[in-house]
Amino acid sequence: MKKIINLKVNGDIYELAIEPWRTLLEVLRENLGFTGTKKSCGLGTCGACTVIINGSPVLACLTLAFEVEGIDILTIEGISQKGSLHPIQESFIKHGAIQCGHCTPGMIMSAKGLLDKNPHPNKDEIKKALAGNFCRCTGYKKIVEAVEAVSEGK
Amino acid sequence: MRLPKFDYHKPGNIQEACSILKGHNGNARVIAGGTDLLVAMKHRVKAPAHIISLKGIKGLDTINPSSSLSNKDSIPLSPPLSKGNSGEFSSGNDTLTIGSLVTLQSVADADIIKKRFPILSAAADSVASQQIRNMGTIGGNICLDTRCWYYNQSKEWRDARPPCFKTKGSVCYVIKGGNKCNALYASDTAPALIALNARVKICNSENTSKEIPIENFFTGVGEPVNILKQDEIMTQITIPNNSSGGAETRGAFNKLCFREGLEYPVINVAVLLELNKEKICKNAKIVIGAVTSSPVRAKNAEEKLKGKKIDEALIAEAGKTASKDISVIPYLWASPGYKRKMIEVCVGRGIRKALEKD
Repeated sequence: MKKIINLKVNGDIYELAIEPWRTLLEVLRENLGFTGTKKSCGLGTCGACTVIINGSPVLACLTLAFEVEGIDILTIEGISQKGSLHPIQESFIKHGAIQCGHCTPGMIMSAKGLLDKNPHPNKDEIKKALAGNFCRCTGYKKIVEAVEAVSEGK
Repeated sequence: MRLPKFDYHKPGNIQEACSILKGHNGNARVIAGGTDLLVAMKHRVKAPAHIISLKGIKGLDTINPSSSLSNKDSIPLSPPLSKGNSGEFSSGNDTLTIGSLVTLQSVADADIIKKRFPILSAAADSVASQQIRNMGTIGGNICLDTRCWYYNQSKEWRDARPPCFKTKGSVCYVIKGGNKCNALYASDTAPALIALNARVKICNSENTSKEIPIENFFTGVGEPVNILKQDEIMTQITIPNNSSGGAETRGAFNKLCFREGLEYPVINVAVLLELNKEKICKNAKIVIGAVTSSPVRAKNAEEKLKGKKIDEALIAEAGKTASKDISVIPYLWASPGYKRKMIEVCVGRGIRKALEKD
């Protein structure tokens, strides 16, 4: 049965009538149009759907929308401010850390989760934090370099 | 992949949650982090008509350094307060309770766990990925479903052959002619908790609860995985103070995977040693996970270490004994021979790592 819930995405509150079996990923993409959050495996393996909930990166494909009612949800659309890109986004562009681009939003959200908690991670910490995000173009080297550059303030 | 349809419940207390479980007679499932259950539901290996969220129940997501029986609302990570709940643990006077909804990342990061039970912190930190540790809970990791090549597959894949024991059928494809489910139990935190003598609290719909050693929580077969009855929920984990009588407790957690991140273990080993001043091993626990349908203790290997000063020859002997005692379940990507050899190697690594900390 549909129920009305309030989702707080990127600071705005949306009232939605949805069924309990809808995942946060489906609701973000299909009901709210936040298609920056990507869908790939749907099984928690690839990390393309990573969003930040209550400050922690989680997988939108394995989160029931009902479970995050009223909680702060941050998607890739919400990290740029006043039209200027987030430093992690700038760094990804600068370092050519984007190939097909499908994994990029998830990578950036995972990197943001790490840098918010630990502003100066070493290479191993970066790799560990990004272990749940697959890049099937295999462009990991530049992705790690891009995150490293942000942590070093370059 | 979409989830199958279900009704969603969000009870405000444990007893209500247990009652809903009982009322739906096996057709309801409890959800904590959801990283195990929702994947199984997307694959249609599970399709409960009712999902019961535990997120509405207060007090399940705290780490509490004293007995929570008397101290329900204490602040997480405060200094030890009381003398613990009973004389049951050798000399434990400051126990640690962890609510079953504490996320794996919080378990890994909590200072008190890093300091007092580093093997649990290491085990929690080794699970899957950052995102899954942020979602998955310690309770969920203990109640983790067993895994099998013939079970964790899409519905179309499984439909090509008759159902196995795991899916209410009567055949096992892993061990031909087997009369039980042989799926693997791959939790990382459970071996560490068994080594630490942890106990789990189980609540039921009659508003009573019991506490049992986590070692007795598992059935030893792939299905059902644990002893939880239809109306029961595991609500907290209690770890006693393991250091006793002047002995020094040392541990190591060690996991072998085919890659470093986002992987289930091929084998994991938790080792806990009690050494006296002369470095003689007073007590030893060696728990091995992911090679059978439940974590197993290498009791004969433990006995080999007790009362002796551990040297390389003894480590090798303990490893061989552990490997000989455990009948591993064959698997496609790690042959029984390889797994047996790796038990030997990983037990050795674990003991050496535990001794290293001088």
